[in-house]
Amino acid sequence: MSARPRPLKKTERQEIVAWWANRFGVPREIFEPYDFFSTGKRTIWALRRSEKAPGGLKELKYEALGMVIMRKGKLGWKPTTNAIQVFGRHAKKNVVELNEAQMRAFVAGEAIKEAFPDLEEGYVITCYKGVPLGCGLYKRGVLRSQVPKVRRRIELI
Amino acid sequence: MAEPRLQLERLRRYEAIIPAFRDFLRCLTRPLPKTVRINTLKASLEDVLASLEERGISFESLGWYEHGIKLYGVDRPGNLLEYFLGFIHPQEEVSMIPPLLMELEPGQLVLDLCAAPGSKATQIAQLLANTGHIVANDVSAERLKLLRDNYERLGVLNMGITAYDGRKFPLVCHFDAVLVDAPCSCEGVARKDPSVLRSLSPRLYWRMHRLQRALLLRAIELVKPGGVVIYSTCTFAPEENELVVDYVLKRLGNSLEIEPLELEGIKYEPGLTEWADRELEPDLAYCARFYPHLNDTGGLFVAKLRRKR
Repeated sequence: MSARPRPLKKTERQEIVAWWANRFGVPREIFEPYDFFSTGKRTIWALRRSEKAPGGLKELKYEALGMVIMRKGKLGWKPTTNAIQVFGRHAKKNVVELNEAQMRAFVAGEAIKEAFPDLEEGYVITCYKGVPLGCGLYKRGVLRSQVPKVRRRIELI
Repeated sequence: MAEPRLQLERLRRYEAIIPAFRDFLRCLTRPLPKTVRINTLKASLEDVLASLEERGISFESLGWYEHGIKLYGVDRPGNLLEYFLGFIHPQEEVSMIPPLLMELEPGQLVLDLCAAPGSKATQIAQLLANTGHIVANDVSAERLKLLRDNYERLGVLNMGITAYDGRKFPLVCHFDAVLVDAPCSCEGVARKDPSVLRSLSPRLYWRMHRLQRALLLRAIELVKPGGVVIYSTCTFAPEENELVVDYVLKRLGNSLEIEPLELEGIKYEPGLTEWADRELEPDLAYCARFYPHLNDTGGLFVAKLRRKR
């Protein structure tokens, strides 16, 4: 991490919460217990709020604060696979259930060629047996796994 | 092979203190069981066990700790779907002990002074149920990367990472509890990585001792009065264990107490009260030595200290 995390302004926070609500139907109150921070203009972190955090988090030099939940890229906001595994269970749309073969392909970082009529184009949440797996990019009948390299598994047991 | 045998000779200095010494040496040549901790931050214990069972993965509970299981027929737990989902974390059995001794409760402020790669720090997050705040510190930037990968995969949301030299961690607040899982000569890791035995020497023990006592002294300054500091290592060397705690007890006198562990269902030996003609504080018997052959695990030393004022 290059810069120190900075707390988000109220309007910035509203934008993030609104994005999860609009894209995935995640209720806004789900994010209520968390503070948001950013590093640079592109990376958003979520941290459980606590009165006990030392000196209001200002007096220690933090390298990281909580979990990176999204980054801004060419296609706008992109949720992380880690955030989807936590907050994705509250999603109501742009969620797709995969079969076992598709799940294995997704975890291996591959693309799945199939039309999913319920999905809007853009970033989606993949699930297996109802459990959120991670972030996919759905476009023109192809679902591309967005699982980061370090998280991918080719020889999944 | 002749070489590993030769290296085990370096542990001969413990013949008088380790019971059933030949069993101990023999145990070190056997591979470690594959143990994992069930991470209840992302799924319930029942759901994870049901998922493993349904998928035909055989396992057994550790007995003394409901969130620890031993896997059978799985060479790489990191390839399990449950790992990908962040439902399990590969963690050596005795490494699950120190966080359980910290008397943790949701909402607390906790420091893990030497946290990477984060098995114990993420277990602390689990014990706090993702509430309160954990400062996970480690001086090594490279190891901090592993810590971040682990805690993000495990769905930890109450943790911040700092990269201070633990001996100089800034005194900006008092923590409810502090863990010092100190860097050490790692003799207890020999079953996983026999190469640790190659570097053993009195010089190493004493170099580690000086680092460890500085870390422990700082930890005691950082904990609130009445708070618990857990000191642990994965080595058998008394220089890095009882002698560190003895130094700190003698130096801080009345403001520090050592307490017996409350831990059932796993075997351990008491801490030493003498070593190499040195008389140590009698209370050091309250420390615990977990030897590999007692429970078929790695090695661990642990001391529970309480700051009185």
